[in-house]
Amino acid sequence: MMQFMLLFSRQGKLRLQKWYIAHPDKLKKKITRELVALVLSRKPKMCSFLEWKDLKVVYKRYASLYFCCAIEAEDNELLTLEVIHRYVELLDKYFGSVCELDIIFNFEKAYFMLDELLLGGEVQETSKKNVLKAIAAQDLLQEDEAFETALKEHGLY
Amino acid sequence: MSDIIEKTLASLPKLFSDGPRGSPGEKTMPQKKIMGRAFQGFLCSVSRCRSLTEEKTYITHELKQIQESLNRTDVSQGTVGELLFRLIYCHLLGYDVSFGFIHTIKLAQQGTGLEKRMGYIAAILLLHQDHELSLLLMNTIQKDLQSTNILDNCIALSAVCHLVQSDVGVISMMLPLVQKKLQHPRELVRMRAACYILRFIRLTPSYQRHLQENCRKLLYDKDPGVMSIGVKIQLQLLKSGLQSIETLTSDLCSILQQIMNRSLPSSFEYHGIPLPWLQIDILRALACLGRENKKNSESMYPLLRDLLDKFNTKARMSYAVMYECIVTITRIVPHRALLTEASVRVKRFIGSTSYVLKYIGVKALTHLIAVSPESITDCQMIVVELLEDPDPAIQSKTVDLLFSMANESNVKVVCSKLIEHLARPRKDFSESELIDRILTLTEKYSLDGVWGYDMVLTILREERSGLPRDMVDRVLNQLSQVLNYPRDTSRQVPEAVQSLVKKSVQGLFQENCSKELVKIASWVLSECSFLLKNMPDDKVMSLLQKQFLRESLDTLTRLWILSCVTSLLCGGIVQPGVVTKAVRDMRDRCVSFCDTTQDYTLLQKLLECERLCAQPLTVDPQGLDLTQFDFTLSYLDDFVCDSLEGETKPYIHKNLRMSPLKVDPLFSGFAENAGSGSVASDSSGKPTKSATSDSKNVDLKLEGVSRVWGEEGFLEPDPSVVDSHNAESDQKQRELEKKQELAAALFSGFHSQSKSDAQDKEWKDLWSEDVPLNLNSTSLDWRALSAEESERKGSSPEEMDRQEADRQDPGSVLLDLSDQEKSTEGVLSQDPLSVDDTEHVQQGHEQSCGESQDSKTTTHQHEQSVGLSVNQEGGGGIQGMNYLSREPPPLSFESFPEDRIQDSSEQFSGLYDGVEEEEEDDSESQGDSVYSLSQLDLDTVRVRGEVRGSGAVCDSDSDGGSRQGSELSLYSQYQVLEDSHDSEHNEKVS
Repeated sequence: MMQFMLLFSRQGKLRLQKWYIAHPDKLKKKITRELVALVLSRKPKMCSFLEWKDLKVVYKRYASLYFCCAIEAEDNELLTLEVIHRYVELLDKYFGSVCELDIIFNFEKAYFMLDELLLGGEVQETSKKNVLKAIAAQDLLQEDEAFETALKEHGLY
Repeated sequence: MSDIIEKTLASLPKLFSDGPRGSPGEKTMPQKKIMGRAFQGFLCSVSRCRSLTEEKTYITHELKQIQESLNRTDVSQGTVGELLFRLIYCHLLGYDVSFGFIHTIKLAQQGTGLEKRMGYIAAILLLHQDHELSLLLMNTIQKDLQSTNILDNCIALSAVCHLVQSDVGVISMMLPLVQKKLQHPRELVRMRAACYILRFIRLTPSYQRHLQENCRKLLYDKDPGVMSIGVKIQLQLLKSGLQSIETLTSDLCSILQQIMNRSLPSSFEYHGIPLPWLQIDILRALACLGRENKKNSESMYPLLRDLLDKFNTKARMSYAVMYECIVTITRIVPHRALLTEASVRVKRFIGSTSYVLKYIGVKALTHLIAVSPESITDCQMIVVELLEDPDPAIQSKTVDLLFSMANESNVKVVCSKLIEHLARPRKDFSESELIDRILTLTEKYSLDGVWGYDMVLTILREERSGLPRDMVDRVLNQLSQVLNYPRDTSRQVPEAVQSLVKKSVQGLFQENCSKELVKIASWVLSECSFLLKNMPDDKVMSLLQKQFLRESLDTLTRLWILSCVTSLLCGGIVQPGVVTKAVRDMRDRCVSFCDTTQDYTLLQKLLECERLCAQPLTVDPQGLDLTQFDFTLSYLDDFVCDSLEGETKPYIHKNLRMSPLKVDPLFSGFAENAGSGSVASDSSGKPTKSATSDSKNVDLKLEGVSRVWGEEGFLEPDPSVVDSHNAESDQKQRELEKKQELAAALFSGFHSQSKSDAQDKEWKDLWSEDVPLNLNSTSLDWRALSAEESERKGSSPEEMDRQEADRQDPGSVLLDLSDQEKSTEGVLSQDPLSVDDTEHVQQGHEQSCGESQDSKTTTHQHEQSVGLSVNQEGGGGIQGMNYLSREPPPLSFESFPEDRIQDSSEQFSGLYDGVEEEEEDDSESQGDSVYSLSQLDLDTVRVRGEVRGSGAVCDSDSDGGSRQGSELSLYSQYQVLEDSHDSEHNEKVS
């Protein structure tokens, strides 16, 4: 099960965080600080895995963004790497060539998408099409608020 | 009629533009704009801040404004949602936004559609399951679960996953609603509901029984996504050991078969691999099911073999599946051919140029070694190289590997390597783990104790923060076995003991050794004081004195030294005069630099020592019978009776002592009751067992007592001497018990099959610790295992005989293969850097992966090498026998016809023939081509990566695949494939 996921820039600025386990804010900040420093200090010719306390950290860099996941000791690292990759693919598909600015300015979308992919720390959906369909449904919602009122008129709500 | 048609046609464009949502309201437009522009402006101005202080002032100002507008009643819900998203952003930057929590809940409750969703998302991100406010959301969640709107259902289910505590009340409220959603027509809802069930099972494993029916149904769901969650749930149930496993194996196998046949929808393929996540979950579940279960394992063998064969080495994901497959193969009842296959794959993993694959390879090898130790022989050179790898992550995994491959012949080298790693800068947690491992190894393999003691001394040469807590105890336990030789004056003292004493003295000469070393060394000296007779006594004393006066030592360590002094004095090793002088000196210095208020125990002990010097009482430690203890302290009976008759209060145990003054008036009634109870129990207690607390009298008698009770030095800084005596006797008893336990643990293996057998099990246990995929609680008991093993053996006695016969005439073949022998002995069991050995190994290596035209001779040598390595590694030939007898039957007639036909004497060669012919031809060449491709691509990709790296923050490349390929050299070889794949997807979408 995934413990948390962090997205941060090459300068160490946090762009996205998602925690699947309950920690007090203070601890979260401490973990984030330590991990960001640790990952940024890694050289490019090293493997994408780290052992950190009792967790394993899997990270990957896409352009200027680091995607960093913490998993439990028994989990498969390669698989986590693919989860990250799938997330990037989804973002890419949705934003059309995603970049760091997309994630900064549409971070709510990024969160929506992450929720479609991972629920409670487990990979939830293995079909890319379904995820995009769900996101599209939400966008419809966002584009037109009257959806709800229409439903009400039809007695569905 | 035509009118109607016309009307319909006229309304069509409108319908298309608006969809079924009716007329678009004017209010939506401004809302969307507010969300857009103001929000982006906020983000821009935050990112425009140049310094941290600037950002801080801006954000605190902004937060204040947000708070104000949130508290106003006239803001629309859309604005609230936008403000909440600003809060999330501030939270991301690390500011306190707790004032907004309640608003997230409010929005989720009152909002509709998008606003509701925003409220939920904010609540999920800002709150967590233990947060007190999340309780307020439960009502809303319940309402939304009952709603007919699918999106509401979905978001409510996500919220349930994140925010519902493990509190039974809340869960039982939610569970029926969620269970109802399992029957929902839409797979999106079903899947989320299943996710919640999974989470619920994880949180409260004890409540899962009545869910099993439902969970089982999920496996047969028509949507693969829901089914994959169902498999996850089964895996979780298996791990907690509460799942009945009768038909599950066949079900999972059939699902896996379907996946491999690609009979599931192609939209679930990931880069050409069908449902990889599901595949991995099934493999994990199979590993649990097949563990120690021969029938289940046999039904998996063909499937696993298929899976190994079908791997598409061009997709990254397939490596993840392959790794999981290898792990499964090592977990289930071993099958020799499959293990050989797996070891070939592992070799390619390890030999890969990619660091990611290397890391995974080392991990896989660690798993593999537990079941087939000979698989390391092919990769030993690579492993030695990996030990020096610059990447600490790979290093630490290699250290894990070293630990798991230690055996009697190579343990010294392994330990010295581990100590080398200890010297490197690393963090506390791994240091303590590493030391723990070294200790475990020394305990396991150091028979004479000298070598293990050497290791301990090396570790303790300097002060370390990350020592395991029980380290001193463990070392002393180990040493006491060595020192426990039959004490007979006529016989020579064993050499091991002599060298132990010598090493302890040498250790004490070090100025800045750790205090644990001082403790251990002084214990050894006091135990074997008679061996120090040849040493000048003033030298011994000055040595101890010097250690005693080191400022960094604590009281406890000093007490250890003092008890060593006492024991030396009583043994007549040092003259009382010398001791008196030294002790006086110590006392003076001690008073000068110690905080006297804390060190009464130390002073008392020093005074005792001095008195002991005045009237020395020498005890021959060899004549002492230390096996008889008087735990009831009956020699104090007279003294206690006398004191009790003479007005002294009976002894009350420390825990039972109660001061009536401290009682809170509120609880006065209870206190009285309790007090009377304790008094009654005291008066009813036997007076002979308790001692008085009259310390003066006791002090007088104590000297005599302490002499009898010797020199252990485990004195606690407790003012009550009687207590300390109790503690001491307890301590001894505990030690005795510990020793008995240790002995039991050491020798219990012998009544089973053999020592190496037990060893084998130990390894397995280690692995079950590391990767608890196989939490089958009953099967962890190794006694049951050995019984099973013997049963299995009993069933095939002829096979056993044959193998024994095979094993027992190795002499004839040993003669002409002396060269080979060296190579299999291995770099790892000798100095890995010595040139001769390396040559041999390389030679052996080349031979083993020689061309197929040599296959016959190579096979022959393989046969030898395997036999040899088995002989060396275990405790003699018995392991070899066991090891062979573990061999399960072949898969089936179709897949391994040679296994059946083969005479048992040719068993090995037959297997290897298969490997040489099949594997060397296709897979090796395949692997080579892949890796050479990767190297070629690497350069071009690097150039591209550099060009891109110099570009702007946002990469404008439209092709995600190629860009990602350029990030990491590891995956470069798949770039081409990925590109094509992406374009495929593009087409599909468009």
